Amino acid sequence: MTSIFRVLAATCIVAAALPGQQDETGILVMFRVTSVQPRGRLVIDRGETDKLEEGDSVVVLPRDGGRLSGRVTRIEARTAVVELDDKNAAPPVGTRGEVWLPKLRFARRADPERARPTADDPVQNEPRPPAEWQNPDEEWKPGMPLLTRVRPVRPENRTWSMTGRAFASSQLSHVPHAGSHNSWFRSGADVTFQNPFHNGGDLRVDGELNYKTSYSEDRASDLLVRRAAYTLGGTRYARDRFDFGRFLQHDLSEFGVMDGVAWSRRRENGHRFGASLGFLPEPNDDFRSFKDFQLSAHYQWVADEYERVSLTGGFQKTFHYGKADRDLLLARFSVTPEEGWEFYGTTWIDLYTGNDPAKKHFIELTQALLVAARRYDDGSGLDISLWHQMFPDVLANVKRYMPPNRIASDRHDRLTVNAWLPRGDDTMLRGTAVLWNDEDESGGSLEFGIDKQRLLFDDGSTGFVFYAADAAFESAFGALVRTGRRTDASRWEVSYDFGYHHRVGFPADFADIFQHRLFGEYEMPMDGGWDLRGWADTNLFDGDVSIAVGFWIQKRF
Amino acid sequence: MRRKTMIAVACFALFLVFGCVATSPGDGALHRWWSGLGPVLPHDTFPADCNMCHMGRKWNELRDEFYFDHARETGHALNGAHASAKCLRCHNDRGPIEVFQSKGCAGCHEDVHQRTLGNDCSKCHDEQTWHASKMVVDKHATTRFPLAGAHLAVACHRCHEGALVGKFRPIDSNCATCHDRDLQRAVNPPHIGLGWTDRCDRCHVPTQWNQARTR
Repeated sequence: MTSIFRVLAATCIVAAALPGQQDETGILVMFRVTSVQPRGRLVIDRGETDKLEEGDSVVVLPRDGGRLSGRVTRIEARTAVVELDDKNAAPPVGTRGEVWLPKLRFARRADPERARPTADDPVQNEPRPPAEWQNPDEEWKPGMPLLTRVRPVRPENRTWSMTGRAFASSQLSHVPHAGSHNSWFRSGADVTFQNPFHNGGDLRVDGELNYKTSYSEDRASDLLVRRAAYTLGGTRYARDRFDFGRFLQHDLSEFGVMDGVAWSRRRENGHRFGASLGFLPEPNDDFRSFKDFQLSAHYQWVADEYERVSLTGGFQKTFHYGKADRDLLLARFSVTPEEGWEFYGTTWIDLYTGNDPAKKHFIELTQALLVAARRYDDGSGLDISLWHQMFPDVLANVKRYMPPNRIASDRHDRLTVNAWLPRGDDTMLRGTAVLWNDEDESGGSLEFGIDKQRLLFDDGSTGFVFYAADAAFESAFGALVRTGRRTDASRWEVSYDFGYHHRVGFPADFADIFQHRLFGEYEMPMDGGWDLRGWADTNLFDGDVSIAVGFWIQKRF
Repeated sequence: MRRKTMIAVACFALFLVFGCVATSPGDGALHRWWSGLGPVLPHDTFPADCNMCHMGRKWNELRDEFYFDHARETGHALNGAHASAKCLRCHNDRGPIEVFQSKGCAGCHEDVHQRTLGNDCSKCHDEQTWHASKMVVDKHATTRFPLAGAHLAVACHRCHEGALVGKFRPIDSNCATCHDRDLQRAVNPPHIGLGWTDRCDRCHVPTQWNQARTR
């Protein structure tokens, strides 16, 4: 923000001091509207000092386009009154404008001979009365400077505040013929209290109560606490950052959520390092804790203060019920220049030290995500990502049991290329190509789509997507058409998807599934920070139908 | 059942009450600068005319008609919920905004997916509610396991066991990975006893798991 206003201020100052645009006869002076009065009268922040004179023609440039012309009708030292030709126009305060002034006016000031008072110049020699200050003083006392730099208020000196959201959501789904159903209800809040204890820290609580039913499992009601943490420091005034409680590790989120304490320090040159210790909740929706203890440390190198190039390395050691478990080495890089290609990625490397029967090698690249992305000025873009996954041999509890032979061999590699290209003002072409390979087979998918704005509605968009996939157990192709509108008051979208799925391994009468999916969604932002979203999803397939309806209501504060 | 339903209803009622009463100090005054907050930004480079933003005699408040065109002034439009967010949510004590801006969404938002899903959050989330839309399900069509039949009506957390805490990494695509409970419950005939623990497609079709079809 500082730099924004620096640019803004520099623009004004520079414009006032003459540079900016100029030609042989005139100089362009930029101004802003500082007050709006009835009948098209405006006050602008340029005046006699800036060489404006009564009668000068000005142009006001509203944010929403267009040009409003007018004339200077009254001039003061640093302000001027402008009367617009359109008496009904009322551009908001802050609106920019411009006025071309003759170069000669500025030359007069630059000519010292003309500026110097002379004995026979009665006007120059006439003593001027002292300017009278009209405004009442505001909390000023004798001895106080009139203008001073203000020391920014530190976090610990601020009044406490609260931000976050609360939500409730539910979905009921049913497949009548098959007799299966899956439903859930969730309600929770994610709240951050800033400076609640007057020491500049943040208290964050994020949790929910959910209630789930399904045809194959008992009904379950769970209290899920995702975060309950207190954070101190980590600001421009405090280089050390401390996190206590249940939190996602700040500098290396790859190490996961932890119940414990973490410390990190930002050095003068932007590099960071830190360490943490505590218990890792189970990596599933139960989030049960105090079984897996972890110790970790990390260091982040950055190329400059803007951190557009960074390299981070970390090590995490875990213990399951006190028994040595996982040795995880983590490496992350990020290159995000202002222009050009962006590169980032993380690699998870497991070290096996002899207590891991499913793994034969000492070191294994367990997981990796490498991304190259490019955004162009015309709105087009390209993302290329490479994903690699294997399954670590760990003692920590996971719900889904995998036998050792599959832990040893199962893997998944995926290359994804995603591109989009605008054509004209209202058309966007999209394409996605995926190649994947796992321990058994390989396949891929292709998707091509067109989004067209204002095809059916002035404020709406319509899209067509064609897709084909060679998947693990089937091949499929289909098409999807969707349309919707978005206004300030609401957004809705409906889509129809027709797909043909050929299942591999089934006899002919079971192998082919024709699927018709109809989806509708309505979203309505409301006053007071409320958002409401509802949806209905119907799917016709193989003589059966699945129906799902749901809602999401949220309050932001 | 009744007790848990009551819990759910009570929870929803609690949410409504909380949502209605939860307002932070200064709520509704988006651009007001609370006196307790003070100037986070040094003003030494601001335009000279303080009246453009400030109220006379109420220095800690900004003018009613104050409007900052974020898109025009900075080149970055504020969409969805960002348009109504308080300035301090992003412009705060952490440091220069450029540092966080260069990191995209993750500059301000915690990456609950722990860097396993990339940096482009807009593939699944929107900026109004952050709630992931059905596009997530559509994305599944590009994986090695497109959702067909009854799978389309299944909640994400049934297969991705960490879905409610943001973990959506790929899982093993064998039937038993998600249908392990079905396998354990299948006693007529006793699947595990007979060694029928894989090749489910010999009897089951993906659209009607409960009723095996005779081949």
